Amino acid sequence: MTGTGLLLAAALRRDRLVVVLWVVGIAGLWAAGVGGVGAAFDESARRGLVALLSAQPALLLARGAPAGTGLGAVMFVSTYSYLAVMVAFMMTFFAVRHSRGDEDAGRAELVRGTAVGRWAPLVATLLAGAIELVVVCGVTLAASVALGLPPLGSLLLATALAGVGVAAMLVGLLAGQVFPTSRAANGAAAIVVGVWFFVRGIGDALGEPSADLTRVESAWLSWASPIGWGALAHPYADEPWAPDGTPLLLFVAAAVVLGAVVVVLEARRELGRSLLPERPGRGAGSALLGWHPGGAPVGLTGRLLLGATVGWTVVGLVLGVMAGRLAPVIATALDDNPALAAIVTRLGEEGGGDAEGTFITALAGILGVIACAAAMQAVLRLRHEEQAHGELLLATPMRRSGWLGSHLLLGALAALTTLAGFTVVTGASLAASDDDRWRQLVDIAVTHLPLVAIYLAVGAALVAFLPSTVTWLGWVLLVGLMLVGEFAPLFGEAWAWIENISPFHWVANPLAADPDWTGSWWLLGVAAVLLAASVLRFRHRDALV
Amino acid sequence: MRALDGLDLVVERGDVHGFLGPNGAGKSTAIRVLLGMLRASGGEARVLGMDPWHDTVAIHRRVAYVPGDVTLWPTLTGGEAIDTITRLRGHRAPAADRARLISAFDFDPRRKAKTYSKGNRQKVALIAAFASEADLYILDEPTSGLDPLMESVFQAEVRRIADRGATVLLSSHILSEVERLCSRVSIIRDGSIVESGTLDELRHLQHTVVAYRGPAPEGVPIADVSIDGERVRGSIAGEDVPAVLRWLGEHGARSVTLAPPSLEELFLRHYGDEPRVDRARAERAIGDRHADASEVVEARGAAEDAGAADDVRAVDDAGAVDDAGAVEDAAATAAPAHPTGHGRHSR
Repeated sequence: MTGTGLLLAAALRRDRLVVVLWVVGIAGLWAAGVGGVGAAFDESARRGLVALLSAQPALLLARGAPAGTGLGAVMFVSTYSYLAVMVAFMMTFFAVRHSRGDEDAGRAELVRGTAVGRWAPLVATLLAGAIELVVVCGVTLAASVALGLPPLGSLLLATALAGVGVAAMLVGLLAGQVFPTSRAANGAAAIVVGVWFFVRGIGDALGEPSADLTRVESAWLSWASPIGWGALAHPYADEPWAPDGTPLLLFVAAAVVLGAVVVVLEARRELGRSLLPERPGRGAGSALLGWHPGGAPVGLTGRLLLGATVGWTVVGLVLGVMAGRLAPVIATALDDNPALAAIVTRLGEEGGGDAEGTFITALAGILGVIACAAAMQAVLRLRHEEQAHGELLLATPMRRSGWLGSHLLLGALAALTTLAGFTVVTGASLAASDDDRWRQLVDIAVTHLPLVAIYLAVGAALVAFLPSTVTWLGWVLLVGLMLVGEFAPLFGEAWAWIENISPFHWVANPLAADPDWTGSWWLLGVAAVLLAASVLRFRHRDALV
Repeated sequence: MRALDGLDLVVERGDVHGFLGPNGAGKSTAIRVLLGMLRASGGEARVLGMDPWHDTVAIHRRVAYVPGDVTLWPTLTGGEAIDTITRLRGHRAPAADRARLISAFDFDPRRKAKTYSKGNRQKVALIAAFASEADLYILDEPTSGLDPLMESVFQAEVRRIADRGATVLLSSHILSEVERLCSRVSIIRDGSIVESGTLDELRHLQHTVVAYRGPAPEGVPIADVSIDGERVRGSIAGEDVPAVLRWLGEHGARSVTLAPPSLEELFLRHYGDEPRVDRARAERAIGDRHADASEVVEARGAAEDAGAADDVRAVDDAGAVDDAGAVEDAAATAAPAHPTGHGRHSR
């Protein structure tokens, strides 16, 4: 354990800015929401909100099952799933950055060559992760108590987030031990977090609303997800339910099991090795790999992005399976509850679609974010390529505009396959149960194309204009604006304008009888201008290798 | 801040030109300007007769480059990386050539790049370069990480491409490598070329150490004289050697030794604490990572007409020093085709 203290101090120092950003994101979202909802919604408004929520399985899936109509309960059900996902990503990124990432970069070797014990890096990482979690969850706890929420519930909320965080950290460490590169480890850990989110989501969507529409009893599936455990503690529940910390004990069990696996693997693992080893590959490159039409290295870029593209597409397919299988189930469930059916009918008249259509559109909204992420990730990858391989590549006759172009092209392709995978699977699944809504599904997918264009352009603009900040700012712009679009109504009247800055606000409603495409055209226009400026700039700036 | 200031570099067609200088002197920055990755803020750079910033693609069709620090794609095998680079370069080697290089460098192309050591990563870039039929090879410390066996393979390959008539700009710290391969040498220090010429010329410029027993020197150009009894040591400029020898003979000097400066002394002189450039300028120049340099490197090409010189040329334009003396522009000029007496080196 020699050197643990020094390594811990170094890890905390290295992460200090990142932690501040996560605190702002996580505790900030929570506090802003509590303040906004507290000011804008009185008891009866909140009751209406919860009834609306209970009536829409898509919202139950995205947000969670309500457990009462108090301010804390409404806020919890509105934001907890997102907060938990943010904490989980914070910790998986943290874990991979401090384990596999260090080994990838060669830092681990440098550190291990000094007088540090075999277990010191791992222990320092665990401690640093715990400290960062305590900071984020502690600020969240302090903020909610300061805003007047019940202390017990707030403590349960903070504990639940911390529990999710610890589990995610261990998953990240495990992924770092299993996969040979930090990119693959991050991807795998993100998939695990996604599964947690959707398993809880499906459990809640299949839940049983109470007769007065103030709470929803989650289905058993929610118990299979760590994110679900926090929700099942019902931190701010009203009568007849009560806050109950028992489900949080599952976090302890999970941490012990995951932690034991991590320790056992680490004891056997040599520096730089992974459970999935690198196998020998082809001794020569295929003709496709070197394909560079017009000086655009499409073959190479395609190969580099292949894994991610397949991953995003699989996410689209899985969401499609969910949409296709759940939509009919949910429509049937509505028939059993007349109060719900009434609300759904009203919603349908307002939005223009039936229960299935609303559910699919809501799921497709999540898919839209994923398609944007796929597109932007492909473009942001260019910055990594420039830094790591720019010297080699820029000394070939490749064109810079072609280089950027190849990433834009493959980013667009990744987004399209993701959207198409969802559409085809959902459509086929529904068609199998005699529900032909291909036309509507294509409309839903098309409404997301302007968003994809925007995030292709955002990625390109960051690479071209702000190359040093590129990766984190891109994700802040994606997740931040998505959250703004999603949660702006909760922030109260004074902040209502803020939703206008989110591109997600301008997406056309595909269920409307006569969709308004004005916003979409604006998005496309902005994207085109941004793209043109980025291509010009990328051609004319110094290469930062 | 300037990375390069008054850099004059000329590489003639068919030359193997050594490019030497201490760490941080600006070698890699100069090379990146030549490759169109950075844009010079002043002066003029020509590579193969073209502007490296505007004609980047056209130049790169005829250039092969080996960076000093090669980072590969972790998920590609070494063989795939080699083929990707050569195909992007557009002149792919015949399979036999590729196979010959892979075997000469004792390289396993089937492993994922992540598992390669530094030397093996370097081999990927070297094989990709030597498998390309380029007119100009720019090699930036290409042998860092190679073992001595591979070093000799490298030297053989450089001689092979030089015999073919290609031009080579070789940045290196390995003096024996430079001595064996290079016909001409330029030494860069704090962003400026401080010495340039053939090795013989450079040696000639340097002082030769003379030691003998006999009378104290009088009326001969011996400098830095130290006398211990009848033992005398001093240094003489290269052109004064015959006159000094004559004087020593006439005055009955015994045990005369004349030691020409070794290459190492030559470099130590420029690398070390005895800067030949103006201190103030040096301080302005150090540490800059940006390309707003008033330097120029010109690689001048005249491949169209055979027999024309193919230069990487830089000439200090003294007229460009401004009032403050802060900016010293170097204007690369198009050197006329001149078949040099030194010729290409392929010892």
